Amino acid sequence: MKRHLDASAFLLPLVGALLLVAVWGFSSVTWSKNLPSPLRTWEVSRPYVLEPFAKRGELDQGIVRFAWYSLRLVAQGYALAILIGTPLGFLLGRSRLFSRSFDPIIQVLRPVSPLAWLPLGLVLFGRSQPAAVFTIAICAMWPTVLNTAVGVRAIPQDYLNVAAVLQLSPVRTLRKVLVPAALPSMFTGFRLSLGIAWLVIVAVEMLTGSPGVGGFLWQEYNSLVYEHIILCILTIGVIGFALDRLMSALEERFKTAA
Amino acid sequence: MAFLEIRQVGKGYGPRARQEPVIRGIDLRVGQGETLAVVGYSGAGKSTLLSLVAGLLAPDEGTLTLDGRPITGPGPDRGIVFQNYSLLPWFSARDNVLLAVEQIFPGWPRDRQLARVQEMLALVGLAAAGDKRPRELSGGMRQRVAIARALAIDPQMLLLDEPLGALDALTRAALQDELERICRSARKTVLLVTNDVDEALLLADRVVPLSAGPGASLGPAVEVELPRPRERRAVNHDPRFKRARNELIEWLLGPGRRRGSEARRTAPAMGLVA
Repeated sequence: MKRHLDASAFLLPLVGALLLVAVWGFSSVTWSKNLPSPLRTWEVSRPYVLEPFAKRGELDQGIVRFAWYSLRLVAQGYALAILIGTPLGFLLGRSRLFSRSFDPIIQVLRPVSPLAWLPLGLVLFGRSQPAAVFTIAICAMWPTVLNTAVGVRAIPQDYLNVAAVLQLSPVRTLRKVLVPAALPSMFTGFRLSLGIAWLVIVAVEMLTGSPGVGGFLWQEYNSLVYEHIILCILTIGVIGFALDRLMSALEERFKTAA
Repeated sequence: MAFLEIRQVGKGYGPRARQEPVIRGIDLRVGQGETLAVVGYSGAGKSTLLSLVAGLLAPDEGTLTLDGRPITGPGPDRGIVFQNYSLLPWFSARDNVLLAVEQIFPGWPRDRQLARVQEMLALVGLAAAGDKRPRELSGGMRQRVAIARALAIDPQMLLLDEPLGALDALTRAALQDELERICRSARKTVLLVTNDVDEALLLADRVVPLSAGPGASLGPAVEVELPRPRERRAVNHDPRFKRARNELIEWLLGPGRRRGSEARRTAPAMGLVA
């Protein structure tokens, strides 16, 4: 029974992937002649995959190199999102006054698309790189803000009573009680935020034309090299999945609540 | 003058206009070194009374003074053991107690603080369990850690809010004897609230019944004239224990309950008039 499970855990995802490739290949020879076939995609993409760090020109580089540019930008925007979002979440969770003042405006800003923020970033900062960081930060911030606030609001009164009875200072209450108690929710927020940051980067690179996976994708679309669109989609997906696994491993490591 | 003085205290929750007080007209004096138990129905307002003494709540009416000074908030002069342990799950047993020690004795060197923690864990019989997280401890052990934490700050007064209420009956009985020993050796003024008459009689010098709420108030005090150390199995057959027990139960099931049910009966009628 156990053997059977192990085998299917490996085989079933493979079956799923092969089925998708089959549909893709079938589509490419039947109703969508512009769609490159799987084999052709691999042939055209090969230099980018087999020489992942090559730099042949500003817009002709190995896929890992492009991914690295994107990741660097995402890291900056994401760091900013966490740095601003976490304290904001704590304020929302702790202060009714703050929550009532800012919750409505947050609910209004939260659903705004990255495509809408980017031009504002360009107006504010002039250059495309800081505008990209701004856009990633402001889009990725909300899950961190809201989940932190939920986590802080849900801290049991018992723990707060302990802090009150011992007369812990605000800083010690934060360090010893509030942060550990809210950490599981905070990590949920961090994880969702990272997912959004990675979604946003592609759109931002497309609009600004900066080098990266998204920029490469858009450029190759314009150059009619459709094989690379698929290469980029797969790369974006794999990296997004890896980032999510990474956050989930971190979450496991820092789990605090009983 | 009594160490803890509660005068005409009342407290309710919700909007003041239509609130029914949970407790009202509470008068209570606890002498220095005395162990006083308040025994009453679940939900009658025992925890509210204790939270007032702890300073976690402010009374709507009346005054509370400790050693002559009015109670305005929580303080290190009162150590509290909550019903549901309230240990911080991300700390070990040792760190839970250490948090309290660091706070009250910040000037002490580290090893002295740790020695104090160890001493308190030993007092409650958990010298070897310092590294364990709360979730790795049984309910009874958690509550001992909570008692160690409350005593670690060397409070003048120990407040016990149904300290054994969340335990199963057998563990509870075993821990009652232990709590009696701990309270005796700690030599503190103790205020205990519980819904267990036997527990109150085993631990306290004086037991005061609290009527059923809403608007709960105190009944006549019963002195417990049993010699210490007390042991549960021995006191069970003591005629003085039986007499005090009957007195309390008579009041709780008689006048103490009627007052509450009268209140409940009149409440809907008042609603109709309004």
